[in-house]
This record gives sequence, C-alpha cells and structure tokens, in this order.
Amino acid sequence: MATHPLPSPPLSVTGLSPEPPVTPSPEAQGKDPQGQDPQYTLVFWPRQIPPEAITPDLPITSVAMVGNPNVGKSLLFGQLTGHYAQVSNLPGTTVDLLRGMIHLPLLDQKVHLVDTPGVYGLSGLNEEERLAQDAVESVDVVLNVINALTFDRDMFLTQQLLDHGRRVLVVVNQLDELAARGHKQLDLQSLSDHLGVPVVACIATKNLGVAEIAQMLPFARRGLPTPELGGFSTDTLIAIERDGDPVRRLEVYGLRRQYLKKLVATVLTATDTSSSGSAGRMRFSQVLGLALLHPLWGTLGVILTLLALYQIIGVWIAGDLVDLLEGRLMMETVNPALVGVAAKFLSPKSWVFTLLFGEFGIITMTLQYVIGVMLPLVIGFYLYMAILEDCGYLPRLAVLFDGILSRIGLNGRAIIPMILGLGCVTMASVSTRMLTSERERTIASVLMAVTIPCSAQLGVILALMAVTSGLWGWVAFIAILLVIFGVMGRVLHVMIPGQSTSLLMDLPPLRWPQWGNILKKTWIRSKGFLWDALPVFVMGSALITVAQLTGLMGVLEKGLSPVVRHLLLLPGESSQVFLMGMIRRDFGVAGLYTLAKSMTHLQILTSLVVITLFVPCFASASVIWKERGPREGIIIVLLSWAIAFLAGGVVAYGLGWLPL
Amino acid sequence: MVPLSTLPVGQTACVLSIETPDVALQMLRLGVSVGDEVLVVAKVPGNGPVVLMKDGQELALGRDVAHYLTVAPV
Repeated sequence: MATHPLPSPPLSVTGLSPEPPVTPSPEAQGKDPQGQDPQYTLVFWPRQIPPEAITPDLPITSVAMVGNPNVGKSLLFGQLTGHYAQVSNLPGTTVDLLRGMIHLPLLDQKVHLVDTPGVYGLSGLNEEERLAQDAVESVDVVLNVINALTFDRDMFLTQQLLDHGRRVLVVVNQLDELAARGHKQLDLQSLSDHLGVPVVACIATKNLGVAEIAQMLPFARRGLPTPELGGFSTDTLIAIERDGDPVRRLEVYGLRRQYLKKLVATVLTATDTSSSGSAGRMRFSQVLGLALLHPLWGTLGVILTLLALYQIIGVWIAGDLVDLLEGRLMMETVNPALVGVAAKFLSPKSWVFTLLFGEFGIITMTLQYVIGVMLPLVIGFYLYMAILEDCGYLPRLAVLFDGILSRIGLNGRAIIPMILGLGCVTMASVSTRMLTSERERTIASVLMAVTIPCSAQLGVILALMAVTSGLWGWVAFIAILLVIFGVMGRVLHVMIPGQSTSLLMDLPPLRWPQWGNILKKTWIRSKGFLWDALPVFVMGSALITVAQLTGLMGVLEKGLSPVVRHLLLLPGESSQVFLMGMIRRDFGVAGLYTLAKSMTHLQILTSLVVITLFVPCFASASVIWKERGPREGIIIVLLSWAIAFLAGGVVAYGLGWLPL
Repeated sequence: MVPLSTLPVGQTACVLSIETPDVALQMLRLGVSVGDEVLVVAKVPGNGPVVLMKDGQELALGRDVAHYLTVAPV
C-alpha cells in the first residue's frame, strides 16, 4: 500500500463530521487507476446530497455481497473477511452462500458478510438467483459489485436493487482493466449522482479501494429508483419480478433497460478520438478466445488439452512419479522398514499385526496407496483443472459441446459439472445445481455417478495403464465410457418427461492463469481429498482385514466369483476388488493394482470398466442421496451395478481382438 | 428480417424482436435488447450455439434460442 497513497481518510472515526467523505477531484477520474497519482479518488458521494445529511445509516448488522458472475466478488470477499473463497473465471462456481465477518472501522464492530452466487438479476429464474434474492432480503445492506468492463450489463442488477428500495453501496471493480483498454472512460462521480448512493472505486487484484469499502458500508443508502417505474410500489415491483407473469415482468424490465441506456450513455463515454483507433483492434485474448470456438481450431484445442492431460498426468505423474513414490519409496523402503520395526514388538502372526501391517494393513495400505499413488495424481489433476478453470476455457468448452449435449437432454453448461466430476463426483454433484431445470439435473447426476471416473480413481487407472496397455488401452477405455455415456444419456432424455432448457450464457474473456489463485485452489481441494479419503481408507482396510480374518470375505468372494469368472472372464479373486470398490471406487482400483500383475491386458480393461461404472463411492453416493432424494439415489446405485457388469461382459467377450 | 440463426459469421445485425418473453427477459439482463446492434462472431457446427459480440462481451445462444431472435442485417 505504501506506493498507493490513499486520499486522506474519508471519514473520521466519529464519522459524523459535516464534511463530505471525500472531495471528488475531477481531474483524477479515469486518468491513472494504477494509483501512482496521489490524487486518485476512490470514494464518490452523490453531489445532490448536502454534506450535513451524510451520516451513517444505522443499524447495520449484516451485509450481502451481490453482483454479476465474474466481477471479482469472491476475491473481494476474501480480502474483506480474511477468508478464502474459491475464485474462478467461470459462471456458477459459488452455489452455496459463503459467510464471513467484516470489520467496520467507523463503528469498530464486526458485521456478517454473505457472498452470493453471481447473478444477472434477481428474478428467481434459477436456484442461484433464488439464493441471492433470499440473501438480499435477509440483510440490512447490499454491497453491489460491478465490473467496469461489463458496466452496461452489470447496471441492470444495480438499478434493480435501487428500485427494490435496498440500502446499497456500489463498488466498481477492475478499473485498471478498463483503463488498459483505453477507449472508454467511466465517470464515477456522475454515476454516484445518478444512482444516489455512494460509489467506491476498486482494483481488488491490487488491494486498492478495499479498505474504503469497509469504511463506506455504514453509509450505504436507498438510492434513486427508475423514474419510469414510479407507478409501481416497491412491494408490487418485487412481487412482479420475483415470480410474476412473464409479460408484465418484461414490461418492467424494458422500462428499466431503457432508462439505463440513457444513464450508461452519460456515465460511460468514449475517450478522445486519438485512441479510438485501438478500440477497433482486437486484443490477443479475444482472438484466441474466438479461435477456440472455431470448428477447426476449437477441435484442435480440445485434442491438445486432452493430449496434454495424458502426457502430464498419465505419463509423467502416473508413470514416473508414482513409480518413484509407490515403488521405490513406499514398497521398497518405508513399508519394509516399518514392518521390520513392528515385527520386533508384535508377532507377525497376531491379528493386530495383520490389521496394521498385513496385506491390507491400515498403515501399510494407506501409506502405499494414499500417499504413494493417489496424492500425487490428485494434486496433478486438481492443478490441471484449476488452470483450465482459471484461464476461462471451460465456458468455451460448454459452447463447443452444446450441440452434442443437447441430444441427450442437456445443454453446454452441463459440461462444467462433468469436468468437475473428473475431479471428484462428490464435489460435482453439488455443482449440478447450476443447471437450470430439474430434468437436466437428474440426467447430469445419473451420468456423472455412473460413467465419470473421479480423479483418484482415474489416477490409479492411468497408473495401471502406464505399466500395461499404454495409450491404446486408454483410448479403448475412454471410448467404452463414451458409448455408455451416450446411450444412457439418450435413454434418459427419451424416458424423463418434460423439456430441457437451451444454452444462453455469457463468455468471460480468456486471461492468463493467476498462479496464486490456482495454487490456493489446488491446495484446498487436495486437502479436502485427503480429509475425505484417509478415514475411508483406514476404515476400509480394517474392514477387509477383519472380513478376511473372520472368513466372511471368503464367503462373499465365493458368492460373487461365479459371476466374475463366467460373465467377466476374470480370476475368481478379483471379486474381492469389487467388494472393495463399494467402499470407495479408488480403494477398489487400488486393490486391483496388486492383482493386475497376474492378469492379461484385456482382463485389466474389463475390471477397470466394471469398477468405473460400479457404484459411486460411499461419499458420493451419500451426496447424491442428499441432493436427489432416496428414490433416485437407489435407482442410480442399482442401475450402475447392472450396467457395470453388463458392460464388463461385453468387453470381456466382445473386445478380444483389440491390440492391447 | 431474418432469424439470427441464419446469419453468417462476421455479420452485424440489429435486433428487431425477441419471440418469447422468457428469452427476451434473459437476453435483456445479459445486456441485449431490441434495437441493439450485435456481431455474429462464431457458429458452432452440428447445431451448436451462435456466439454474439456486443460491447466486447461475448454471448453464446443455443441454436433454438437463436431462432427466436429476429434481426435485420446492417
């Protein structure tokens, strides 16, 4: 902050001084948002309000942060509360309300701050909007964040909040980006005059203007509603916009938009003609962004993305790194050493020894698989996904896949939960809420639970492929899953009554990935994985050992082994792997890892297909149960069993000719 | 006067009407309303979306949504 001398503190601690918070200095506006200019003004107050009227509007106990997607809310939330919220360059990532506390220096007290999902308006059109609307209705003050680059679009929500009589503080973010484009200038003083509420200028990525938000929050106030909507009372307006008749709603929206067109034309003006030459030129990110939607270049982009994934995760991490960690470090060094030490204190024949250090020992198995195999793969995967997410590639994928997905009753947006599902189905099941209709959510949940392997599982699969069948095995595996995905999707689309919605989304601009952001997200997700996986692994290995010691395992294995031997053409012992897979899918694949040494490549492929399609793991099954209800939950589990064994049979009997 | 979905890439057009109130509502909130000029920047083959640009902002419309917009090429 030392390089950004801020204007003299806008408010004294008493805050009741008769002076306006800050004297606007017109010469500074839109000139140097980098903050080098010490005169750069961050706080604007409506000029028509006399200085003596400037007092904090109390009480203030809770604040909701509201804004369009991709305006920088999540980052600001973190800066204001000290909490980390997941930031990504992608609409629909905040599906839950995030809560934190924010300190207001003026009142020297902490108040609640709620971050809401990004929405274009409060019209109850989807789950996100209803969440945001409920949050707005339950707080005293709304902190409305606007992105300077999408000012025209973002103003709709702002004006809607004013029309609904909310107490609002407006924050305009990313002013540096607007200045960098150089052909438009935003007059924030005039904006504040027009809205009738205080406006704070902010560059969240440089932590500029953040302290001012906390200072100005108590001065949030009711602003100037749309004059053309003067005939409606606030309550009528809220009722119409929440769930009124679409035609009446459209009438209200049209009037508001018309008013905003005039307002935007006054506030956002083109700069002098000398720079207008550059206005017509496309930025590199725009050119690249369009290329990624081009039939040829876009397809190439998808293929390159997949190949890079295969090379990084499949070859470098799953092959080389796992070899080193699992093979050299865990199996050859750490585990033998531990077993050696333990053997000094425990008889290797005692059940305690078997429980802790045996074939499925709690300690040996956890170290070998969780630390040796899964953790490096999961971290690699999350890192790769975080990069794709952060640079804004996912929405473009949604556009490319919209045509295909519309054939199975989904629209392009569904690609986002699907890709997140590759990370962890548990996490992605929650993100199906971003889909518009109940029908789409059902289709996406079922497809995801059944056909999409999660990263831990996919990691082990890749590791297994790396030592056995290589690229061809991988291609065969993906092709099989895609066929099942397509057929199942089509069946669901035909069977489930109703209509799906079409794609209508805005595409955030591509940007360079921000590493701090990416590393933080990867760290949090990987930590979440360990937290989830460790207890299940410990419990699972204990269960298996106990089942083996008591002979229960033998009975179950015997029961399942005819199916395994005759339907899947696999060795009878592999039934154990499937039993393990019920606890956690990756746990099952981990079991397969040992067994695979004595199997043919086709047998490995068969087992991988079965275990991928097999029940979702315990954690994700419980989330699906919670999100979709018991009836659908049970159907999903039974369906995945049937499909898993059926598909496995087809592979075992039908794909013997593959050059694996 | 043609549906937006029939325009070629690179064509600028003025929005004349949006057929269903539901689509009009959502378009309006995304910053596109009747009377606005938009540029078609991409069309994904295989019945994929039409991508528009307005004020440097890109919007993707599923093909059937794009049928609902009547436009006049400029």
